[in-house]
Amino acid sequence: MNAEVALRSVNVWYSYPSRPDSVVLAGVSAAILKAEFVALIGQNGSGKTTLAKHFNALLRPQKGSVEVNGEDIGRRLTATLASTVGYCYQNPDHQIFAATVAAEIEFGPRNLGVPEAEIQARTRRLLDLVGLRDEAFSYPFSLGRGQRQKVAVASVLATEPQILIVDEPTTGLDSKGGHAMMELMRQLNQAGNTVIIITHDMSIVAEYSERVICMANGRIVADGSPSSVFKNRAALAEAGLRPPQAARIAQARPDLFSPDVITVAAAVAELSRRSVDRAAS
Amino acid sequence: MAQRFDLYQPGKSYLYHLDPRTKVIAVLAVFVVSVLFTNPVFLAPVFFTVILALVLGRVPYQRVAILLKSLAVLVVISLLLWPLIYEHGTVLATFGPFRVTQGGVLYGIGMSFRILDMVIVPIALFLTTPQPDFVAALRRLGLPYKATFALSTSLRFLPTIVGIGESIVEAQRARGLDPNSGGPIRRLRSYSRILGPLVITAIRIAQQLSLAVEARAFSISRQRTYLRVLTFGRMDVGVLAGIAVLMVAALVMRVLGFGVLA
Repeated sequence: MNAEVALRSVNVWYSYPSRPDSVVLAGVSAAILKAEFVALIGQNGSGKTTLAKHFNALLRPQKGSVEVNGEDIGRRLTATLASTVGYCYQNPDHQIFAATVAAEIEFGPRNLGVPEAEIQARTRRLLDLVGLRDEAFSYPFSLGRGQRQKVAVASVLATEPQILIVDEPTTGLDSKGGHAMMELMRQLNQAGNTVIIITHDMSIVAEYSERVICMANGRIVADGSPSSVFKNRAALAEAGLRPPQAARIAQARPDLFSPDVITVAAAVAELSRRSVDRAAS
Repeated sequence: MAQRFDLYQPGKSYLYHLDPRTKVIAVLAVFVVSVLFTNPVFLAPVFFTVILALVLGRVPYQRVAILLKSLAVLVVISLLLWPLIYEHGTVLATFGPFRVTQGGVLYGIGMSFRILDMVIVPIALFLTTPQPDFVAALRRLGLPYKATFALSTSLRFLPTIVGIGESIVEAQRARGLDPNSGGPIRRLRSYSRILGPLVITAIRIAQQLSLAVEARAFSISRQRTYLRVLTFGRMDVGVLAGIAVLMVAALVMRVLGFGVLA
């Protein structure tokens, strides 16, 4: 059992030093399994990002402990965890510094002392993966927001982390760009990576994640499959969240939809099945 | 993440009652006097007057003390180095090629007072004056509105920029950068990975801000009104008169050749 756990937090408490009176994490215990696709949801200030930053030792628990692949990371430096846990920031502009896209991607593996030939191979592979092969030698800041986001993700993937944490992968992207980003996350997850996204977009959660951890006031208030969490009204109310539209429609019309419907695609499938059933009867 | 960069500490004393303009003028007066004289016999009374003024004004002394600790190094350097460089008057001792003279020692002491005055006094100003009052005072003393706007905006964005800087450091650490490891050259390279995004982000913020203030009709009216009304009280008049008298006295003495090591 232990071997399957990628990330574990045990009763983690945290307050930021600048505001010691406000408790940001109040005893958070969670275990995220290898190759899971987890969405971390909750209002601004609920503790999502603070929890995520504990998983690569950017923050250290004031009480409790954090494990990565079964190892307590209490004494590990963030830099040495970079090849295990990748953390991608919400704002790509907070990490891009290089003069070319390729150089930006090469930065992580170079820090870790990966051999040059391997760095080149990884960079080519990642440029293809995120669809930026033609922009390899472009200046990153001349690219659009969606492409800069891809550069940021590729540069985090370059250290080949088994666990990937992405803070708001779709914020600031148009619908097409957002879905392209999520398809990339899904692809990585299917290749065996553990993926954790932090997001406010409930339809993205419904469509892509297989597990939802919902936070409110520094605690986990719901944890389970997306359909079970979106049915948990008490927890959602505490977190100030609403289920995605498809789920709200399904919940309002139990005569038409099963309560597990949370995506538009599922709703459409169910409606067509019903009309087929009706035609048959 | 959000730190305070405002030194202001609320309190009650005559220093808090004085008009910020009076305080700015007093700071400038101390600067001028400190630069006019080099003889510690003249600079010491200035220093002790300043200390007396701060003690009577109940300036939070812990904050000043922290500052004095970091200034101590500068003072020690000044006390040790000036006697070696500056030669004047009777030779007191000889160390190899260096001759320590009476004038040099006095000059070192004088410079120490000068450093202390010129740092402590503005700090006392910021400890007892809220930032907006300080900016308002500069405006009323004749600094152009655009300059004061730039000043208050940069003060306002300092914490923001520091916050962004922290995010950038974290993002680079998450990619395997350890900014505090390696020799000086490696560290310099590490810091370029942090300064690059920081400068670009700061420029973006400035660009957006200039559009945002433009969109809210910045600089359209020549005649501005002010929310914060500054009024000179009786105490201000007294203090300003005192400063004027002391300034004239100081200038006269300087012109007559007193207070300078020659």
